[in-house]
Amino acid sequence: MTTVHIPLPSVLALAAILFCIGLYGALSKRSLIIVLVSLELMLSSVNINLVAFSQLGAFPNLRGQVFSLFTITVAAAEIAVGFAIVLAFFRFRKSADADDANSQKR
Amino acid sequence: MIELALILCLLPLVAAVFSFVLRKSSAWLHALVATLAMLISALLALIVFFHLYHRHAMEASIHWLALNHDFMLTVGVRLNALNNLMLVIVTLVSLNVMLFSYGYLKTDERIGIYYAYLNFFAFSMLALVMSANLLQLYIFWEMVGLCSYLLVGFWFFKNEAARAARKSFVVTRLGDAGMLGGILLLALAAHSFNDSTQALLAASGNLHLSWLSQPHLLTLAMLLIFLGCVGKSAQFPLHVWLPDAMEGPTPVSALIHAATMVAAGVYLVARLYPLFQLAPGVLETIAYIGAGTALLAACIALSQRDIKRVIAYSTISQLGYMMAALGIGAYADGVFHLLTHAFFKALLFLAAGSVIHALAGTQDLFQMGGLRKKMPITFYTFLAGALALSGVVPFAGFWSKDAILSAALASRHYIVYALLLIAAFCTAVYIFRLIFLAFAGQSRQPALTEHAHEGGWEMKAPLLFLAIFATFAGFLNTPLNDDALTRYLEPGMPMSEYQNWPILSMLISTLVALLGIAVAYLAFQRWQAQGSPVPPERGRPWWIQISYRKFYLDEIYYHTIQRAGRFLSMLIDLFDRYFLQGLVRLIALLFYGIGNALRMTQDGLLQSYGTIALAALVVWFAIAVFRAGGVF
Amino acid sequence: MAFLLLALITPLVASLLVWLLPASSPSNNVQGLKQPHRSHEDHFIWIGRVAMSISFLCMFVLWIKMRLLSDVYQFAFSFRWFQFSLGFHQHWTLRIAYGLDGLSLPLFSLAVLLGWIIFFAVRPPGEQIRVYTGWMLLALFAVMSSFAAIDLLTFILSMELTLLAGFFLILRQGKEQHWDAALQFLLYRGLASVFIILALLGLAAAASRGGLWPASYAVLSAVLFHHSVPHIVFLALFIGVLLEEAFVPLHSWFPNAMQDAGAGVAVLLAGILTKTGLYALIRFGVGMMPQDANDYRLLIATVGIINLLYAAFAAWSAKDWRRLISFSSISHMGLALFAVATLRQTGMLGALFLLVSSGLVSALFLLTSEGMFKRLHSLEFSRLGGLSKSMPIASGFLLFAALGSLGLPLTSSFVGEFQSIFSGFAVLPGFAFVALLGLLLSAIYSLNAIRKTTFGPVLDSTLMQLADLRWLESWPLAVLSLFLLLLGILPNPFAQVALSAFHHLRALGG
Repeated sequence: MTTVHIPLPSVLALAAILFCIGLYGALSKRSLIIVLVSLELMLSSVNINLVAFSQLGAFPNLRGQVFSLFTITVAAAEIAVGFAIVLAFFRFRKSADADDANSQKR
Repeated sequence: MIELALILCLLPLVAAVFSFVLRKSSAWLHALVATLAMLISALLALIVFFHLYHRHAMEASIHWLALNHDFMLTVGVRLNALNNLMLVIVTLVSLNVMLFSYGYLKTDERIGIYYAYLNFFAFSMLALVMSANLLQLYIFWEMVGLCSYLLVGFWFFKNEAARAARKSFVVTRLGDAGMLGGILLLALAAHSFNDSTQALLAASGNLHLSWLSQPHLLTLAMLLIFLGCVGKSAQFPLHVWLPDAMEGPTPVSALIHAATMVAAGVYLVARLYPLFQLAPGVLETIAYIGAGTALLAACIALSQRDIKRVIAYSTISQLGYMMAALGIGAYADGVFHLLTHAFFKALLFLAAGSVIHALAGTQDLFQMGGLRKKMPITFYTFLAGALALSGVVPFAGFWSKDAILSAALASRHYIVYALLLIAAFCTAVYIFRLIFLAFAGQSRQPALTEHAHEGGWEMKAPLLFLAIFATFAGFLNTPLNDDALTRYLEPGMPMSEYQNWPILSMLISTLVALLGIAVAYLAFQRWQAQGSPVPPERGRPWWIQISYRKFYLDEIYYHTIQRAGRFLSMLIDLFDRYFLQGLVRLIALLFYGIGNALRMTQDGLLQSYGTIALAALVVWFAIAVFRAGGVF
Repeated sequence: MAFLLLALITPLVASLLVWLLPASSPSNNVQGLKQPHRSHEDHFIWIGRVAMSISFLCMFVLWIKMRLLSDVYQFAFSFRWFQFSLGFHQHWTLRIAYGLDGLSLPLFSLAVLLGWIIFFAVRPPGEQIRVYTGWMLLALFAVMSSFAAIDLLTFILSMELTLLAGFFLILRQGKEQHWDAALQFLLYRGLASVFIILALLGLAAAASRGGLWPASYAVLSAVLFHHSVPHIVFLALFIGVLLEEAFVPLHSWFPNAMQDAGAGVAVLLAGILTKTGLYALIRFGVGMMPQDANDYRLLIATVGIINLLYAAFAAWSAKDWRRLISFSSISHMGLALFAVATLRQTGMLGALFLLVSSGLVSALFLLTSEGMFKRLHSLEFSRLGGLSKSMPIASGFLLFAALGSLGLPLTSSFVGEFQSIFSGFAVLPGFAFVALLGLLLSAIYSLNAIRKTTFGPVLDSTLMQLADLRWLESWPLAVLSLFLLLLGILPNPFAQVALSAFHHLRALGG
């Protein structure tokens, strides 16, 4: 099997782009579900970073990939909790709009 | 003697308190108390005068106020030649006025207050001429100004009276402010407010400040003090208050604005004469201001309609004579004229008061006439006063006026002499114009003058008393009796080094006076006798108009100083109300604006909080990277 | 010392009493009935009157017992408030200390006198008697305390307490609330107290020289007299004083507050509260930082003269009495500031006389015009005129107040004015000449107002039917006039007491 050598900066760039897309989505999407999806995207980009550094970084070892398993787990748990919150929110506000999460406003 | 002087000064004060506290009681009681008090004061003054005649001056003081650890101010009594003479003059004239006031004002319901004010004035004036130092003098200087204000505004419900009172106070205050400055400067340099001490220091050349040498200091200080005299004695340019002050009751005009208060300025110059003599240039200034005022006022008096205003301008003019006398070095002659003037001017005013009282308040000359037959005593006493004023021999005014004129001639102050001589001519003209218009010929308003009659004895007696003085007081100081007054006043003063030219000067003055009387006769007597109508105001020639309108000085003052002051005041008021308040509101708005701007970050929306958190994180991260030593 | 304690404690205790005693319940009052309302709350006013009378009597005793000593605070007493231990036998003690000397006794007496007069001369609006009395007593205690303090902490606390009490007094006048004026008062004087506190802290730090920060005046004066303090401290103090005393150009709060305040509060404001600033300047600026004061003498004198003239001109344009009184007060304070700038004993004496007479004159003006206000419901000149006819007693007092304002001799204002200008000629002659103009201007605006109010024909028939001041209203005015005259005719006792406080100025050639 020939190893395809992908340069590290490209992977990092991919992760950064993914992160930015996720960030943009988290901060400006109206639908709370999409905000959650964007959060997932951000977490995924972190995973990509971790794996990239574990394979292509200065001191390659397996720790990065192992750690990415942890982040995936945490992401899953977090999404579950997030959905629970959105559901509770929906029950009271009858809406899943981020703009309606404004109880501090008068 | 000191105790007597104190008593004579305090008696009127007691009478004032009495009249004030019991102001609702009957008129005759007030008059009685006032006259009695003043009679005793007059007697005491005479006793003091004769006892201390040709003896050394007496002085006594007590502590009043500590200015700092080594400067203690005192107040006290000083009885020297000049002061004793003034005491006699003030008490005698006041006595007559107190009595006369009863006849004049007995129907006024506020006569109690009137006597309270009048007595308080007498007290202040006596205290002024007995002052031991300049600060005390200033205190009573202002007090007499206050009394003048209160008395001029006695009929306060008249707008003109209220305005006149305020004008008199404010104009004299301008002078007083300057005077205070001069007094404080002198006191600072001499470390004492006592004018004898100051004179001694000045004579030995030690009266100076660290930043001002003696000649400069004296010139500045004496000019400032003279400013106060200009205000109080109604010299140009601060003379404008005196004619308006005629709004007060006539006895007030007689006492305050003829004989005593306005003479205080002359008194002060006389008192501080040693200092004035050492101040270069000041006496010359005084002489010219005095002579100029004398002529100016005489010209204005020529055309006035109001009987009191004629006499008021006459007062201003005669005060100019006194100032001029002092200015050219004729110290004793100036004081002599003060003495004679006090009597004959008070007489003229009281006689005018008699006329006004008889005509139920009319003061317009063009509505009088023919009063000679109706009020003979008033007429003859007024005539005596007028002859004294014009300087006809042997009346009192002749001796004093002539002394001044001959001094001017002898000391080669020819301009002053000329001014004073022309003024003398005008004086004769205007006063006899008044006599002819008021007393001679036919009445212009028969309805008015029909019932004119003399006042009671309380009005006649003062007139006669003063008339005697107006006639004979001149003999105090003639060449025939060795100039008694001069020797009394100037035993230790440096004698004015000039030759007297009495005969020539006497002749000229008498001629001028008679000329004036003749002109007045020609101009007015026949016109009056024929009963010709009063010429209308419009058609008068320009030179009468200028005189009548007082050379437009009041208008000039109003349009320049008053309007400037009011404008500045309004400017500051607007600045204060709009600009400064606006600035404050601007600052408040600024803070409000900042608060508003910052509020936008707290909009309660979920995602904006997230954005802010992100931004903060980025900033923090950037700072951390920079501090760690660089980026990439 | 007991008398000082008594004089100070009584208003404080009375204030607490007023707050704690039960008030009348408003539901008892039937609509339209005025009498019962009064009798329920009257006892509060009487508490205030009794308290201030006790202080007033104590004040007389203090004057009699006062001895002419310098550099010593008489009637002194103190008590420990906090004590922090700083290690081996070192303690930091915070005390509350009171005492009087030649500078503070006159001002303390002024506060007591005016406080006493306020309670007898002014009746607060019916609905707010308890609140008013409570705050007024507290304010009086605070201001008396700030004059009598001989310790920095005590002074600072009193200053803050005046702020608090003053705010509430200005805020509530009967039914209305004057937020604008009250807030301006609070902000300006609050800022002033910030600057002053900073300056005082700087003073204490400069005097500490590495050790503990001393807070007692005696210690501070002794230490600081020979060392100069950083200029910034003096400047901070000066700016604080400008704000506190309502000096131009930071004066806007004062006319506004005076316009809206009730009579008693206005007397407090114009009579006493505007004197604490100058007191602080003299006590701290001149007493503890004389070299700095010397360096800034020109600046202080300029501000003083600008105030004198600006306020006089502004008073000339005033359209009603309150505005005139406030600017007249600022003008006198300007002259007093100028006198302080001369740094001579005579000048300090003059400033003190001016402070006291300004307080008396303002109170006299305010209380007399209050009598007119009650009958006419307006103090604007356009509505008044010819009042001498119907209200001769009121007009008389008003005239006397005007004469006091313009510095007529035989009133204490004259003593203050001529001393200030005399002292000015010695040191700053140019300024002194300009100050003479103030004499003229004060005459103009005072007599103008008098003429418009009391002289002239009566404007309309309603003015003719006014009742004159009754005895109850007149006797406080008579007391004030008496003091004004007394200090003008016999100023020496007062002067000797005050002079004893200024001996240290001799070193500066004063």
